[in-house]
Amino acid sequence: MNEKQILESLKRTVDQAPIDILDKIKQQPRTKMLRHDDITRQDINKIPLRKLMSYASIAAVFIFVLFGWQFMTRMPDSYVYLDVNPSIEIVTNRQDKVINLQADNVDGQRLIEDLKYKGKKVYQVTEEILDRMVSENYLDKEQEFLLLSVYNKNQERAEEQKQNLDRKIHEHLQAKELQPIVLAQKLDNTSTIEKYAKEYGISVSKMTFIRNMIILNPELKTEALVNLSIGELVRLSQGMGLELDKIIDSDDLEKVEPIVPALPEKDEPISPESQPETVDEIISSDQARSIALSVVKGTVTDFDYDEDDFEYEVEIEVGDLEYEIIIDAKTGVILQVEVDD
Amino acid sequence: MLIFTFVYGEDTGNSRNNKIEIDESLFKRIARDDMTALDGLYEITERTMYAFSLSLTKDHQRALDLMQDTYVKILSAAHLYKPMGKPLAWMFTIARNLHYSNVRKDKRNISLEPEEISDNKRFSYVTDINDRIVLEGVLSLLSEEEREIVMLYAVSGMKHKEIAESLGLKLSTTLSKYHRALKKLRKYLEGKEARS
Repeated sequence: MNEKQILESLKRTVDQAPIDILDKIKQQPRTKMLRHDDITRQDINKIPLRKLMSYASIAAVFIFVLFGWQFMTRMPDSYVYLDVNPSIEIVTNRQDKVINLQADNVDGQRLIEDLKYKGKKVYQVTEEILDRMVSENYLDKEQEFLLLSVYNKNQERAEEQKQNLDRKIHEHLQAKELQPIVLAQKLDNTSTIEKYAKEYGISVSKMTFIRNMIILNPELKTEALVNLSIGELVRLSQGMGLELDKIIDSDDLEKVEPIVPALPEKDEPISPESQPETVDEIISSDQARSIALSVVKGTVTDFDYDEDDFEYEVEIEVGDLEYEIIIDAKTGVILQVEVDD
Repeated sequence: MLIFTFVYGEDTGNSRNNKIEIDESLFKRIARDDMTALDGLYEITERTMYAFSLSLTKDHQRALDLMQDTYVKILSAAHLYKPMGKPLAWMFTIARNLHYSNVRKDKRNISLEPEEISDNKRFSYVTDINDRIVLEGVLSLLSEEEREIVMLYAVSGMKHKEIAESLGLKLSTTLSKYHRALKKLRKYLEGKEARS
């Protein structure tokens, strides 16, 4: 066999191989990565070694000179997370100056693009981020939920930071005539939450909030929650009757409009013929629909009423995901939320 | 019409002259979940990625799994892709990294399956017995880099220079490895022929 025959033989073999994977590829679940990982990293153009050496020697001098100073000012002290839908992570040093700013999702990345944070205080950077959130309509009159999370090794420092930022956020947004609903929490440092956060492509702060929701109601599933916004998570918690004040600090919660519709008052006669004692009152299908939609905004694809169990089953499609929400027809309480691809 | 047939005729003249050209804007469209862009990329690269994956895994089924994982990874990272004129190089890098990470995992969980399944079973789809012998030769005799270079040269229609670039090798290295590999193969095949 000569070279040409060998090559042709190999080509024939490969052309014959049964490959039928395109549909499987499309069916695989995927999350958009925030940044390249070890697998997808693109080669950076290689710089010739000699050039590199001269850079390195200059850098070495700088490192040497700056190290002492860096040690004081570059050491991370607090981590502050802001989650609306954009998720932002602010790292500060002991003097409350911002030393790093990064986004934990795509929306966040767009939001903080070209925001200059070096040398600014955390409050100033927070306000600038809030301004951008307002101008990009992430925060407006209808959507004013903001999850504020602080991590500091020192619990007292964390508490102090949290209260200061909570106050500053209120002041800043109220000046813009917005009534924010700020949910504040302190974070613990656990690698499990970090792992899950990374897996689902959400911030550590939001993952902590979700974990706490699941502690309150173990029936909830992480997959069903990770794609919801902070506002949706709060509405869902309230719809399910979770005691949110156990897991977060907020003075704003009573401002959240209840999604459980007011049932007709018992003493108010509905109609002379009806006998409330024997015939159970149920919420209307429109009410059930709006409860479901207040949790997940999307298109209602299926709607059922289960007469035996007095439950509404609402299916809502959002992008590629389908949520199934089961609502108690008598009380309007959300019983179950499930999600499918 | 005449011109068309002429060009067509010339194209089929050389069996390995169907060069891959990937428009890098495909990745941008894929990033926007444009599935027709994925179809396009897949169609152009399917056989080349198979050849490359097979060079790494030496096994049909594993090559398919690796290919699938590679395309899924491309879907989740397409928006991060920076055009640098070497789209295939990126795709190869992903496949190779995934493969090595699988190998590392396999080492940790010692596999209970027998490592060597008979080659007949593995490549039963190859109808011609001689073709199967050639493939076996490539997979059993050549080093990983040699396999990549030979398979890509046979299947993708790329020139040695392009193969060198997409594998991150020097042209001279690629050429010498290619020739050494072919020499080994020819010797092996001559031995087979002499015996039969």
